Amino acid sequence: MRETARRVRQRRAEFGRRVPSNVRWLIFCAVLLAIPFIPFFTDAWIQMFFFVGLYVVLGLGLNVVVGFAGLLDLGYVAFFAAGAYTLGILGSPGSAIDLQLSFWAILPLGILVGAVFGILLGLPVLPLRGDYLAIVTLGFGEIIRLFLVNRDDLTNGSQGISAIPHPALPLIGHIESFTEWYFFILVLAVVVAVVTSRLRDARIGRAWEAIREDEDVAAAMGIDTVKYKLMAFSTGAAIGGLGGVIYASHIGFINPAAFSLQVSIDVIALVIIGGMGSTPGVVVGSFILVGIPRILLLKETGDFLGRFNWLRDAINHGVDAINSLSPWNLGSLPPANVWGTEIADDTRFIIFGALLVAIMVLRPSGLLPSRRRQMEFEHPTEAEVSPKATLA
Amino acid sequence: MLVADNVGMQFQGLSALSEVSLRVPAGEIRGLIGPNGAGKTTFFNCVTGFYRPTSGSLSLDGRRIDGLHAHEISVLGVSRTFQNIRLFSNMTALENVLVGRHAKISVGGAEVASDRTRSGHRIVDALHTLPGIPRALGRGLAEVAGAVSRPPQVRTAEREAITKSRELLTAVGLAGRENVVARNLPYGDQRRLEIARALATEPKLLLLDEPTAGMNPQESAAMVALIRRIRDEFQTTVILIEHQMRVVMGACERITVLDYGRKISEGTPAEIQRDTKVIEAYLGTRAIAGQPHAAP
Amino acid sequence: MPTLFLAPTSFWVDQFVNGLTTGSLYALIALGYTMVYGVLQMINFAHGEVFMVGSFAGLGAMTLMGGNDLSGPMIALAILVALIAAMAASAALSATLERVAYRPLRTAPRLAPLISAIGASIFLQYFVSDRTQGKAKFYPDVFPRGTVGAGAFHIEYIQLFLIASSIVMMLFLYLVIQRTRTGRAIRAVAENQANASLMGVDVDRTIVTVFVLGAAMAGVAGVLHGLFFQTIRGTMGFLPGIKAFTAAVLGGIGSIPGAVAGGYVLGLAETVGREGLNTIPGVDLGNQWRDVIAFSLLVLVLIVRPTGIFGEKVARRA
Repeated sequence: MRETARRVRQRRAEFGRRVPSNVRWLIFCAVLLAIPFIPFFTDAWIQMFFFVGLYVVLGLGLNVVVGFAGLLDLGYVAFFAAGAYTLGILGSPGSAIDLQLSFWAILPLGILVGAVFGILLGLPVLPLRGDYLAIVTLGFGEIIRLFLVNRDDLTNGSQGISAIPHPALPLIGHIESFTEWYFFILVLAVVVAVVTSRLRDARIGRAWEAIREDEDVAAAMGIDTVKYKLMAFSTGAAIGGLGGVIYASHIGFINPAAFSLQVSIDVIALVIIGGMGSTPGVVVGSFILVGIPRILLLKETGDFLGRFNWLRDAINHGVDAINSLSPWNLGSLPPANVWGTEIADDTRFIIFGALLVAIMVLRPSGLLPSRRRQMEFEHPTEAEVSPKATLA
Repeated sequence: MLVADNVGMQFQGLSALSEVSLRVPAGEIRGLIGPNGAGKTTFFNCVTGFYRPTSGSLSLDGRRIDGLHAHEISVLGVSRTFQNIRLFSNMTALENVLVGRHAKISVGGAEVASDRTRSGHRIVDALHTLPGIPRALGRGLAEVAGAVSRPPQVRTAEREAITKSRELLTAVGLAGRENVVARNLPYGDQRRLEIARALATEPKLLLLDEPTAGMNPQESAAMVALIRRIRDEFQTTVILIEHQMRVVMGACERITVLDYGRKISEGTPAEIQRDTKVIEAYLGTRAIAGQPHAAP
Repeated sequence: MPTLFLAPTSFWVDQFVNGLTTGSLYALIALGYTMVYGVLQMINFAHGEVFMVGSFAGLGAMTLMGGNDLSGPMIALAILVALIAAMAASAALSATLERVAYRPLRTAPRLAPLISAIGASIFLQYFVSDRTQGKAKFYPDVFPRGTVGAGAFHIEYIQLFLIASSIVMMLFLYLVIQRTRTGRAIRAVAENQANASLMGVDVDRTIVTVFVLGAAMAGVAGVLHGLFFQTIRGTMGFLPGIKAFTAAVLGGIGSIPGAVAGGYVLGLAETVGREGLNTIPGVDLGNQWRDVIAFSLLVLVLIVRPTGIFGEKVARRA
């Protein structure tokens, strides 16, 4: 396993030398820009790409908390919800605070609210160790959802908020079509990616990394670990809030059901499986965990899979035989064209769960990790491994 | 420079330190020796803020430091290395030293230690930090903004930090190894890197915890020379925990001896070597002078 | 004067009994968390699902033995079979989890087994939900109804059974830990793995034993939960899991008496405590607030007294 990994790395490095990374990014961006103009990609596809982009933004935000600072936050949906509801409450007519501000006026507020929530949620968890931090953040995410459902006066409870404003750009007017939304999120994702990578390369990124590697020593070097952990939380949360604002505006309607634990799981899974600490990893993770389930739901996929009905018939014949011969009833496979929707709806999380375990056991740094995280997982330091395992 | 007054450190049922008092004047190279378990590293941990002494006080240049957070004490000018080398193993040598420069890189207001000491009660301390929060928030925001927009001051500060880090690497003899990942450095280089990182904080007081552990006589002699140079060139006071008696006697001007958490002797190397209490502490009648390694 | 203050004593007694009932369940599940933490310093995130699987296994057994058609002494037999089936299923699952999802990661950075556990938890929740089409399943409603008691105090048969069974299981565990060689091995490994291994203890097998014991407790809790609450579903383990973990932390993670104490404290806080808060004018905490109370307790404990009531293991770093 390690040999192949090494050879893959070698070949990737060679490819990298022939095609410098800047050029690679340009090619990638060019492809992304061309997508809406390819006839095959109908609006449904473009919306799928939009959601992939949205989750890339969320993933980049969570990456700051988990990937850079090493804090496992399982309640990320809280910040997403904060941004979304800020837009809903402040922008929608007939809401609790009937201000009806414009999208652009609320956007910075949504980010700010996210950041504030990040600090509020971060404060109590600061002294906690990894596992406990994870559970408490999980709890917070759930509490936020309960709050959203229960505070009807503010959030309109389970009925949700509708008629959420869309952004308007100077030359283009309101962003309405899927293609316009797609470009919008593309630009946003690039901006967020640039922001996070600049943070990583600056003093603050080094402080986060030092805290992640050895918190006590980081403190001994003059790093105020409380402040930096809070900054990680609030930066990640601010980005989550940004994503929430975009989401609410795109869908036009929000209710608490959209902000469940599943969102947190989606984001943490894509960050971990894609590769912690790395932007390409987040993009890959989002494509796989968000894009593919949505692709499976598309009509084209159904049509494509319909061609495999012969396979389904064959399998069902075999299963029928087993059914008649044995006391068990295995049921039968549904028609091939709904295989996609079946997987996407029901078994998505089953696959996620299994993938998480598999990735941790086989390739813990993820599919496309940053070089540094890969090293960490291959050579954990003594400070990280369970203390009881070493000789007294 | 450093005044320890009756410092005690009590863990559940174990007295790691009792009534330890000492004074280290500025510019001195002080040795801190004693058998294993005597409390030497515990003392370092108290000085640097890892532990809060259960009794007594510690002062740096007249200012109380016991009870401050570790990072505050670091900013006040105390830095250290560790017995078991705690480098950031997945970062390069240069990055390690750059972390040390953290507090010296200005991103809009340098880090300043607050004027208060911790009372030890979590709630009270938390309340005391409240007034400082708006300023901290502002500085945090400024730092994020600076990191993202990279205005000239920030870029200059980064460049200076890198230059200074390179100088430090050269000073400890690691020039040209700056891009080697710390884990891949040979042992002796790792020790020196740790010192470079500690020096990056521009400390007034440097605590070295067994810097020559595992080194042969030549390497140890080189380390002693480095320590002397650090004191001379950087005007740093040094306290040195060591087991190799040759190093201690050769490098230190004065030596404090601990045993079972108490100070049992203090004086010049010559005085210590003759002190029967010290000799007894190190396994009965084994003479210390002339031995390259003392008996642990 | 708030009306609840004027509520008859029997109301408070009922709440107290309710608290003991849910507390027993929390205690049983918490034992699994605390023991695994004691030997591995790891939170077994998927333990709630071990509880859930036990519940389903018990249901399967009871259905096979007649389900709602059970009567008379067959009920007792069916329940016994259900308990055994649940213990077996939970133990098997837990041992598999240990082998597949945790053991390979013993030397990995601490985040890895945690993420693996989370993955396993997600997998199990949705797998079982999928198998049941997301619908709830129902335990046969065959437990004899009725109450015992005198004056203000009364307790339903099922509650009595639940509390008694829990106590029996806890006593059993106590005996195993304190009086058997296996128990000694467990305590040794919890103290220091490397040293225990040097003393000749088979660390791997001991760890599996710990998982199995904790799972047996959780499996029993699953059946009891099913008998009492009737409804079970694939996602039923999530919330009780977190609450039981809270209970374990409350009592001091790593401490077995602590888990028991924490379980009952949490159970009582959720029932008596919540109703107590409801006596404050203007406060009307519905059922959902039970969860908020549990979480708040968790955060509070971790911040204010991380060692819990009995424990010395720490949730914070140095």
